[in-house]
Amino acid sequence: MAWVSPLARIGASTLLKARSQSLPAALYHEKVIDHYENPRNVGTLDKKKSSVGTGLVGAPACGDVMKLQVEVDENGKIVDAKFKTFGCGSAIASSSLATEWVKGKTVDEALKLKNTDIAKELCLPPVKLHCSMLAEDAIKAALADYRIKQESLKNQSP
Amino acid sequence: MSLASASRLLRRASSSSFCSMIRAQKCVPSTDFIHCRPETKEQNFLTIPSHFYSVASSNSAPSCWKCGGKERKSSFFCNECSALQKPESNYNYFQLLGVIQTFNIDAHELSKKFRDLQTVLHPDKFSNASEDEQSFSAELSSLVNKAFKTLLDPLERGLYLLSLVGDKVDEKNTSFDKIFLLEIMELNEELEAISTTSELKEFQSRNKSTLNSICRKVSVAFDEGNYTSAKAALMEMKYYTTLEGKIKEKEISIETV
Repeated sequence: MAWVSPLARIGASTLLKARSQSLPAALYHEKVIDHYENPRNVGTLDKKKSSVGTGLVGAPACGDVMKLQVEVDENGKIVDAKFKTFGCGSAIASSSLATEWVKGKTVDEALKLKNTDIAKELCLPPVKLHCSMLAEDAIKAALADYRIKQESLKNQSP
Repeated sequence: MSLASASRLLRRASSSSFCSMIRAQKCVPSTDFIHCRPETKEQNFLTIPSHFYSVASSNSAPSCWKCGGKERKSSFFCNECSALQKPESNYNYFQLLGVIQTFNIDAHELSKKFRDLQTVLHPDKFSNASEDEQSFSAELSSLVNKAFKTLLDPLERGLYLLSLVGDKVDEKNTSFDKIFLLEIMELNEELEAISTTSELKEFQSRNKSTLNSICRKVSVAFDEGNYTSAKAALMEMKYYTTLEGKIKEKEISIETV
């Protein structure tokens, strides 16, 4: 009966797939749903301000786009963070959590933030790990943008 | 000569003339074969569209599970006992459906080939067959559905072609062209702010024309064998396809308000 097994395997995997497609909410952890339904720090900061760094990243495999902005005071401390994400629940929750976490941190501390921490906090399944990676990249891009702005300021006024 | 008498002749013929007959059949349009009804199961092969033979010729198939015969008249049926064969582990979707491997697919031809295949492979055709054949039919039929669905959709088709050369759109690649991402961000914001059907219609037609021009870009890239630019264009296509999905969601939410 060797012919049964491949079919049985295909049957089982398609069944699982069908189930996950029909009940996406049931597979999200409650923390993800909480951030998705009540996202923290949604909005926009003035990207022209020299104290504001803007990070814009995308996930080409899903067609998600994420904007994350930080405002840094003269002591190098992040005083405000905002995000705007067009993507799945996990991407929204990851960026929402990321803005919560970077607030109050210094630029150097914020750079140490790892996507694995976000994934762990939100209990993201392996297929959604790239969403937390997107949030990490967004923070890094925002901080890099801030640093570039600061350096060009220094160069202008020696 | 009717097809039925042809098959009777064939059954008596030696294996060498059998092969030549099959070769001859390749020249006959497949439509001639799908409308005729075989008298018995042994003559089943006459109902198989001619393009199936190209699949068979490219594979060195294992011997038949039922009669042990080595000859195949297609990759699906045994030459000797006409039994449906165990599906292979990896089919090329283009070969499976019998269409040319290209991005510029003829959707009409694809649909026709798909229907032809399901005419002979669908589980309904095997309701009185052995359990083995029933399960092979179910497996093959669902594979054909999957192949058809993949090849019909431009984005899926492009990604599949890319996968055939061992490439894929990487999830980890987040540093996309900033100007492009900004444009996508703005389009998403614009869509979010839309509240009337007419605005949405206008937005949708703009999105469709963008998708069409990207589609042409993908097509040119594949024609030139430039997989790097095909991949880049497919990534763009993914973003606009995602937008298209959001437009449809919005359409429903506007209508229900």
